[in-house]
Amino acid sequence: MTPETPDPATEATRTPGSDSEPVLELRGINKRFGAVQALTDIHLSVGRGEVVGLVGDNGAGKSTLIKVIAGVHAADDGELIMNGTAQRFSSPKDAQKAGVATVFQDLSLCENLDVVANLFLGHEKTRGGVLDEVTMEAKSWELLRSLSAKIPSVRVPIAALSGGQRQTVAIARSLLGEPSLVMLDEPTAALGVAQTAEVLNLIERLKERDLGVLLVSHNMADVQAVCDRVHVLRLGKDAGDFPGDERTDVLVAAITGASDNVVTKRAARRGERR
Amino acid sequence: MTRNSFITDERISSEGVIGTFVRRVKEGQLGSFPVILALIVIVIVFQSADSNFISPANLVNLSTQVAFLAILALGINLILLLGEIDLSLAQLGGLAASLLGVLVVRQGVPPALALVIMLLLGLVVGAIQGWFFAVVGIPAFVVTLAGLLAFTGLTLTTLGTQKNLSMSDTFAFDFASFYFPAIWAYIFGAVAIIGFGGGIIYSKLRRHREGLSAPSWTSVIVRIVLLAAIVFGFLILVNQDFGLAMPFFLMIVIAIIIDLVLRKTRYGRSIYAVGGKVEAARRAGIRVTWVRISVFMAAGVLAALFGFIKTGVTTNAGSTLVSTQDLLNAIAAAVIGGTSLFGGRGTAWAAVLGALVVGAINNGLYLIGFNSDAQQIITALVLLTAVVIDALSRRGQRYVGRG
Repeated sequence: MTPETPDPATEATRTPGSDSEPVLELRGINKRFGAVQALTDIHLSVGRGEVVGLVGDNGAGKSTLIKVIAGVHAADDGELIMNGTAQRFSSPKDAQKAGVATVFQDLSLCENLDVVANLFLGHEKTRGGVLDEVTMEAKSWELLRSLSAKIPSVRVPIAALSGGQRQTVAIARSLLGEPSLVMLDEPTAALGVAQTAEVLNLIERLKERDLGVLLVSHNMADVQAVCDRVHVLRLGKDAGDFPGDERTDVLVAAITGASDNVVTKRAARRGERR
Repeated sequence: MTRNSFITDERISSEGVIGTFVRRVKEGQLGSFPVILALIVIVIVFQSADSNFISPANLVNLSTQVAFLAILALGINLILLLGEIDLSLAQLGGLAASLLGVLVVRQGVPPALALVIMLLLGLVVGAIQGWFFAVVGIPAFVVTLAGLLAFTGLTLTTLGTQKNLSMSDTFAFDFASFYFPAIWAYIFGAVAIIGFGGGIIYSKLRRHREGLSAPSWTSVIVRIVLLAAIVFGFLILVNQDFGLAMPFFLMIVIAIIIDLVLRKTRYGRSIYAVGGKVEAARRAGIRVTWVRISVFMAAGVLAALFGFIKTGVTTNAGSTLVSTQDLLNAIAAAVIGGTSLFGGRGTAWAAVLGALVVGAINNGLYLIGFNSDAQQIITALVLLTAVVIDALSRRGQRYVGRG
């Protein structure tokens, strides 16, 4: 979508672990709501084919950061670079055009419509002003199969699907805009074990497609299962960038800002016993 | 390629015609099936009680009675698809009819101009009510309740001191009592069948070419033959009497147009989306406010048309033309036809089929000598059954696909 202009500035700050310029790079993002400094000097990058977990306690600024990237809020200052091009999003549409796809926690699907209708909602294919159901259905199958999605039929209403299947449809829908970055806001919240695994598999598929993925989650196990890196936010500031398989107690310590709590104590005891 | 090559979940197995039907019953994807079943039962019951029920004369009578009810039900049906309700539509039709009567009979305005004015009234009133609902944010229930009261009063104001107004010998009466020559009726029937058949055959061939699951030739042919049998059976019967009545023809044309808009256009799709989940529709870039206002405008025009047909059929443009009974019958018709009260589910044909059920019950009970008390009670029972089916099928739907 965006023309790829190699930027010498990004070369220097390239993320270790990704072998090309990052899909998304944030430099010194600040955002203030009245008296509240929601985000202070955030630096974050997501590479091509890289899954980055964004974790933090409630109120740490995860949602605000996601909304800044999605174009819902504009950052007060700081740089947002997509595929090497500095961007200023004044609306979610701008962000979409630049290749950002966001799948929000409260699923934006119509339960009464079937899978095809939901996938193409607002971007229906038409032939001479008439909905082209055949093309849309064929494309739906193609897309869902490429994600190895388990959907029994694309002609059942969303109401008849499980939570994991709905999440799959929501993510597949975001891919139709051919984004380069997919942001997932708590995609496994309220899902069962098998369904969570289904969604995590799907995240692997996105990675294989060479997309950058930013995964917001409260669930350390999920984050550790799929993320290449974990970025921790605390009180609106960066609290560390860890490798994806970092130990839970280290992450929890970074999230809470305390090295002394139940989780770290137990981990320490485990360490002694070994 | 066969259907099986698209099955991505090993739990899903291929199924036959009967299997599909059983599954759809369980999943609550019944569509028009319950109401068609109800119609068949009603016809059998009344025909065995009084052999005049399916007589040509009674069918002509019934088709005219059903026509204006179905036009009003089509308007309410659209509002129900949004998940809203409009209580004012019947009274709006009454107001429009009185305006038409006053203009034509008392002021001598040319009929065509008066008709345009009355339809514009429906459009403008719909836009105003829609604006209060969609922009100001007042619940549609309250806006249209105010409308119901206001239009009742405005009808009386329009009529002035003389509350009775006869429309006999006017173009409205001529229009409502026009019957097509037999040959025209058959041509219309043939056009409808060819259009329907051509559409589903074309769609089947395209789906087959794209490797999607397509209906079998058997089911395509069965559907075409069934529709042809019903259409021509009806036409042959009514042609033994006066023939195909203009109000019924108009109703069918309107239903076909609304059906095509709802199923085949992006605008129709956006109505279902807004009725299903407003926030999702907004995020998908649908102009929710415009969709809402435009649907109220369409319903307003349909209400005015209802007034036009009813005043022509009954030759009455006075204050007694419409009552809340019309409104309740129309809501009942849409719901009996299978349109959900919760929004986002239903078709244009639901309103027509439901109106046929309500009309047939009233007509049949009248034939076998029941009074209007019994008609209302039985309509109420049918309505309650329809709502129970709606609620149960919604519940059934939630259990499909959960693994």
